[in-house]
Amino acid sequence: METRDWSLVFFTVLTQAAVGAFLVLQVLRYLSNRRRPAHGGGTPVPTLAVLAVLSAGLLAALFHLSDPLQAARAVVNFSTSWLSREIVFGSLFAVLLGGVAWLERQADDAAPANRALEVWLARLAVAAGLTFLGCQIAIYLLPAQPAWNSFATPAAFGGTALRLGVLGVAAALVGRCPAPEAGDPAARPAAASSAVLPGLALAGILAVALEFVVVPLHLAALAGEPSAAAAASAERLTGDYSGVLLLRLGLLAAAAAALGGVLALARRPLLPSRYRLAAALASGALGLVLVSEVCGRFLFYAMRVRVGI
Amino acid sequence: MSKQVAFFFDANRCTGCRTCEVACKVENGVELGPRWRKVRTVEGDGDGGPYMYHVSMSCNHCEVPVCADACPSGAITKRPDGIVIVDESKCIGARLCAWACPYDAPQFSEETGKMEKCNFCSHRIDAGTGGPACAEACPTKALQWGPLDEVAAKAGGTDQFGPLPDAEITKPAIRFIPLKLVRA
Amino acid sequence: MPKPDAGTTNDAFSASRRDFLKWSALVGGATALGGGGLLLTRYPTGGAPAGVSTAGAAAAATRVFRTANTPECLHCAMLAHVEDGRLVKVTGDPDFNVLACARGISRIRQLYSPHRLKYPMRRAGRRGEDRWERVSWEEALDTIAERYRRILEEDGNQAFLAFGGTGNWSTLSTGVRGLYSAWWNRFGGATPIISQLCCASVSSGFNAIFGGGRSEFRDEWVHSRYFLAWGNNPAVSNQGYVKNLFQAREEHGARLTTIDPRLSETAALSDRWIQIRPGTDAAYALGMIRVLLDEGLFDEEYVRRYTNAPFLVRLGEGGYDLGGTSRAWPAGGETLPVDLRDLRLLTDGGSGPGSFVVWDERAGRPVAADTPGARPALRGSFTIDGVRYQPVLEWVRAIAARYTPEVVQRITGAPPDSIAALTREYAAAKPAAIIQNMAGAQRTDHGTLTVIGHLYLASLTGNIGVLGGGVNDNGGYLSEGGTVNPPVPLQRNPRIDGIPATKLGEYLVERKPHPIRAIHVAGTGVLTQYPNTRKIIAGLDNIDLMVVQDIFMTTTARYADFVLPVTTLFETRNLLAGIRSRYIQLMNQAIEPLFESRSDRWIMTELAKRLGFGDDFDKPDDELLRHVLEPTGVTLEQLEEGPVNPMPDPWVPFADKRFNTASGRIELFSLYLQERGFDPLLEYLHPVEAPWVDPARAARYPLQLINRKNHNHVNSSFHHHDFLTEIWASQVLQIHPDDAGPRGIEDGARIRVFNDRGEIEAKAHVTKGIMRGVVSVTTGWGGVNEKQTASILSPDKYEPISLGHTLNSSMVEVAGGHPRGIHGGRGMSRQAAFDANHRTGGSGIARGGAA
Repeated sequence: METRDWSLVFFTVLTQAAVGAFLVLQVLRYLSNRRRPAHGGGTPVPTLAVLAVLSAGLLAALFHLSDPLQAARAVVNFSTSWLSREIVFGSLFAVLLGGVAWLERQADDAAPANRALEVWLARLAVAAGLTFLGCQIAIYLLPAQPAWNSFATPAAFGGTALRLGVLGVAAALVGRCPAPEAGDPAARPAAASSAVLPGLALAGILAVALEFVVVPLHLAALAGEPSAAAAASAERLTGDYSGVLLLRLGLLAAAAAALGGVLALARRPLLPSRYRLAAALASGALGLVLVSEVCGRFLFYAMRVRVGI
Repeated sequence: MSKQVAFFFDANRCTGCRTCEVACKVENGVELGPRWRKVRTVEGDGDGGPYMYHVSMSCNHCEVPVCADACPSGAITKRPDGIVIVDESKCIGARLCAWACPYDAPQFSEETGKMEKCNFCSHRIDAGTGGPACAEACPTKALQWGPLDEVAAKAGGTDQFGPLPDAEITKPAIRFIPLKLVRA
Repeated sequence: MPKPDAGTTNDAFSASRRDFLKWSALVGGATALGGGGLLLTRYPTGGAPAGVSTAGAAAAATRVFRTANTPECLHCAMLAHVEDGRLVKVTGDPDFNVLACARGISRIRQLYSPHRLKYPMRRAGRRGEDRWERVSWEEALDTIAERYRRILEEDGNQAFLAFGGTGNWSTLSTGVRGLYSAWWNRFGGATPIISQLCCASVSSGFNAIFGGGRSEFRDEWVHSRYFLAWGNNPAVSNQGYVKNLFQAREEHGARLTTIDPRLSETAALSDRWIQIRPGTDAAYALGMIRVLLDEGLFDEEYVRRYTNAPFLVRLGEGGYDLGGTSRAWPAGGETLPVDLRDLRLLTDGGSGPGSFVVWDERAGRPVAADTPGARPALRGSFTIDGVRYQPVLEWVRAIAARYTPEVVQRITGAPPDSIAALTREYAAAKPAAIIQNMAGAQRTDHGTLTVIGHLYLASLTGNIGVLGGGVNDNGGYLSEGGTVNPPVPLQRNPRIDGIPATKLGEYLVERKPHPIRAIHVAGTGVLTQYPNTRKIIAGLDNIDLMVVQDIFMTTTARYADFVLPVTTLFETRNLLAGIRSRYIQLMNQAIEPLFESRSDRWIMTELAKRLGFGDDFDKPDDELLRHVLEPTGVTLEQLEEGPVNPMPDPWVPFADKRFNTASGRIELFSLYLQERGFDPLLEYLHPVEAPWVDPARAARYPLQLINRKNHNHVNSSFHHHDFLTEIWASQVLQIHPDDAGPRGIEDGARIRVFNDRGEIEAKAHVTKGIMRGVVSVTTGWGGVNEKQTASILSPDKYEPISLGHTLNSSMVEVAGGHPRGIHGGRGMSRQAAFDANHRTGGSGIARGGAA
C-alpha cells in the first residue's frame, strides 16, 4: 500500500460512518414517530455532528490527490467515472445534511411546513448518502483487481457504515444524555437513549458478526479464483498482514463483548451507576470498532494485487 | 479498414534486450521512475522442463479504455485512431486509472504528480515521421505496430496468453504470438 | 554504402501503414511526410562536423549526426539528434545491417550523466581511497610526462604497462590498429600483455585445425538450416544479428539447439536445450563425433578431400594394432594407455601439402595425398614396409568410441539420448552453423579443446567453407582480411618480456618478469575484468604511477594517481574500422565536449608532444583518418554519406577450402598442437577446478561458477547508464532451488558468493533455469557497486594451449549475508568503501573491458 492511500482509509471509513449514522438516525426517528406520533421531528443526535464527520472524511480524500487544488476537476467525468459520481453524491449528501442541520436549529419554533421540509430533505439526504456509498463501492469493482472485484467490497463498505453508524449513534446517545445526578433515585436517564440502547447494541452485535462471515467467505472466494493475483491477495491477508487481520477481528470480538454487556445491563432499568457503565461500554465498543475499521480498510488497500504480469 | 492502431508482439523473437523500453524513454524524455513500456520476463517449469519468455508491453490502447472511464477529471481520452492519451494538464493525480488498468500502463510520476503513459508516439504519427519508437527500435522485430485488423490477421488474433489478464476486460489493441515451446 | 536492408526496418505492415498514415493525417490534421514513415533514409552532410536537418517543420531545428557504438559489441550505426547544441536523442540507424540496442541509445544518459569525470584530478589520499584534488590539464600532463620520462631513463620501456581496452574500440582511441597502440609503439614499447581474456582459446583452436581464424559476419545466418549455439548466448551477445536466425527459422524451418548449463535467453528460444556441466564440452562433442562416425552421418567426400582424415599415421616404430587394442581402452575421461603425442603422420620425406601419404583404395597402395583419381581410405589398417598405419580418422574413431552415451552422461550430466538425437539433426540439416563466438565454454581450463570439438563437428559434416555453415566467431572488417594504416607510422622496438593476461596480479605482486613502475589505462576495466582482482589491487602497491583516462570514476580509476576525463563518442570525431563489423564508419562530432573532458586522441597527442614524439600525432583529425583509410579503398567523403561495407557480401570464410596449414587442409590431426607438445587429436581433459576433480576444494566451495553476459553491458561498459541500471539494478546470482534450499537462500535474497580469492555480493535468483551444482553471475559487474565485481572470484590460471582466461572453471560457495567486498582486509572498512562509492556518485566501471 502506498502512503497516499492512507488518506483513502480515513476518507472511506469516516464518510461511511456518516452515511451509516445518518441512516440509523432516520430509522430511529421513523420508529419513534411511529411509536409516539405526537413527538414529531428531531433525532437524538444533531445532524451537524454527522456533517462534521462527513466533512472530515471528505477533507481526508483531498490528500489522496497529488493536486488537491484541482479537486473540483474530479467531477468532470460524471458520465463514466464512479469517482466523479462519488464526489457529486458525496457533496450532495453534505449539502442536504447541511440543510437538515440548519432546519434542526430552527426546530424549536418551527412551522409545520419547515418540519415537513426537514423530513423531505432528510429523505433526500438518505438517498444521496446511499448513492454515495454505492458509488464508493462501484469504484472498487475493478476486474483488474480481483481482491476488490468481489461481494466483499460492498460487504466491507456497507458493514463499516452499519457498524460505525449504529455504534456512533449509540455512543452519541449515551454521551449526549448524561446520567442523572447521584442520589436522585427517581431520576431516569433520557427516555430516548434508554429506549433505543438495547436495540442499537443488538444491531451493533449483528453488524460486527457480519464481518466474521465476510472474511472467510472472501478468502474462500479468492482461493477459488484461477488468477495468480487473487492468490497473491489472499496470501497477503493470511501471510504478511495476518497480524493486522487478527487484530481487526480481535477488536471486533471485544466490541461485540462490550455490546453484549450493554445488552445485559439494559435488561433491567438503567439506574445511574449502571447507566454509566453501559455508556462506557457503548463508547468503548465504538472506539474498538473504529480502530478495527481502520485496520480493515488498511488491509483492503494493502491486499490489492493487479491481474496479469 | 480498422482505424484502431495496435501493437504486435512475437515472443519467439524477443530476446529480452529492453531496447524498446529504453527507446521509449529516450524518445519521450521519460525520466527515471515511470516506465511507459516494460518487458516482463516470465519463468516457469512446464512439461517440457523449465521455460522462460519475455513480454514487452506498454499501454495497449484498448478498445475499451477502462482507464479513461475511471478517470474522474477526464484527463484520459481515446483519439479517433484509437490512441489513448493522457492530458497531463487535466490530471489531478487520483490514480484511479492505474487501479483500473489490468496492464499497469499508467505510470505515476512522483516528480510531476501526474499520470503519464505510452502515447503510441502520437507526435511521430501526427508528424508522419514514423510509428512508436519502441517498435521501430526493436532489433529483432519482435515488437511491431500497425492497424489492428492487419496485426490481428498476422498474429492469428491472440490478444492474451499465459498469465496475461482476460482480454475481455479492456479488449487490448495488441496481438501476440506466444512462445512455441516445442522442445523435443 | 549499406544496402537497403528490409530486415532492419519495421516494415511488416508497411503497405497498410502508408494507408494508415494517410488516414491519420486526415483525421489528425497533421502533415504526413509520405509512406516511409521511418527516419528519412539518407542524411546528406553539410561540412564538418557533418549533419543535416531532418525534414519536417516540427523538427526544423534538429540536426542529425552519424556515429557508431564503439565497445566490443556489434558496432551499430547510430544517429545523434541535436537541437541547439544539445543532444536530444539517439536512435539506431535503420539502414544499417543491425539495429542499435538499449546500450547504444542510452548513451545519451552517459553524455549527460551527473557522475561524469569533469576535470583532471590527482590522488590526494591513499591509493584507492578515492580522495582527489583538482588539477589543470597543463599540470596533469606536465607531471605525467615528466615522471614517464624519469622512469624511462631509470628503468626503460619495460617499466611501463599499458592497457587499451574495448571501452572505445575506435581508430583514434584504443581501437585495433588505432592511435593508442601506435602511441605506445612510438613511445618505444611497454611490457606486453601475453594472450588475452576474451577468446584466446578460439584463436588457438582455429590455429590448430585451420591454420588461422576466419569468421562469418552473421548476416549469413539467413542461409543456415540449423543452428547449434554451443556454450554461447547469441540472443544477448549477437542480439542485433539474431533476427537473421529467426528469419531462417521462419522461412526455412531451421532448428535451433542450445548447449548451456543455463536456460539462457537463447536456450529459452531454442527447439532443444541441453544442459552440460561447465568445462565438459569436449566430452559431449566426442560423444557426437562417435555417433557421426558410427552411423556414417559424416560427409565422406568432404572429409576425404578437405581434411587430413585420410592421412596415414603410425604410433611407435612398428605401428599400432589400433583395431584390436583400442577396444580395451578405458572409457572417455580416463587416461589413454597410449600417448597421442607420439603419433606420426607418414610423409614421403618431403615437405608441403603433397608430401603427406594416404592409402588409395582403388590402387591398393599408398599415394601422395592429392593424387588425382585416387580414393583415399578413411578406414582400415595398412602395412607399409612392415609398419602398420591407419588413416587419421581411424584414430579419431577409436578415441571417440569411448564416449558412449552413458560415459558422456557421467561426465557432462547431459541426458544420454540427447546425443544421438542432436547429432542426427545436426548432420542432416545442411548448411548447419555452430554459433560459438567467443563462447563462455571456451573460457575454461581446456577451452581450446571445446573449440576443437566444434571445428571437428563442422569439418566432419562438411560445413566449413559453406554459406550458412561454419563455426561462427564475431567476424569484422579487420579480422577477415581488411586492412587499415596505423594513424601514425610505426617503428621497430626491442622485444620486452610480457605478463600473461590471467597472471596480472601475481606478476605485479612478485615483480615478474621485471618490476613495473607505471601503468597507463584507457578504456579498460582492469579491476573488473582481469581475474583474481584482489591480487591485482595488492600488486598496485608496487606501482609508482598509475594514469587512468575514463568517462567515469571507475573502480580502476579509483586506484589511479591521475584521473583524466575523457569525452564520450558524441563529443569527438573518430573512425570505426574494427573486428566486430564488416562496415567502416565515420563517427561525427555532434556536440562540443562537456566540462573539461578531452578525447583519448587529444590526451595522447599532448603527452606525445611533451615526450618529444608529437609531430606525427599533432595533425588535423581528417589528415590522420585519410591516412588510416588509404588501404581500404574507402574515402572519408563516402563515409560522410553513411557506413560503407567494403567486404564481399555474402562472405564465406574458407570458400576455396584452402587452409593455412602444412597440408593446406583442415587438420583434424593438428601438427600445430603436436609441435607445441599437445595431443594432436581431440581428446577430452577434465577441467582443473571442478568439484569432481578436486574434492578437497569442493568441500569448501562446492558450486561451479560460470559468468554470463546480460543485455545491459559489454564487459564493464554501460554500468553508468541509469536507464539501464533502472532495469538491471544489481549483480544477480542464478542458483537452482535444490542448491538454494539447503543454504536457506530465498529468491531475491542478498547473498555472498565467495572462494579463496575473494567475496562478492549479489541478489539471489532461485531458478530451475540453471543446472544443479552450477551458479552464474554477470561478468564485469561493478559499475554500480564494486563489491559486486565478478572478477574477484575468477581464477588466475590459464588455458595451457592458448594461455587464455579460465573464468568458467571456477568454484565458489554461496551464503546469506553481506560480503567484505573488493577491499577485503586491506584497511578500508566496508562502510568507508560504500561511502566513498556514493560520494562520487556510485563509482564503478563505465567503459573499459577485456582486451
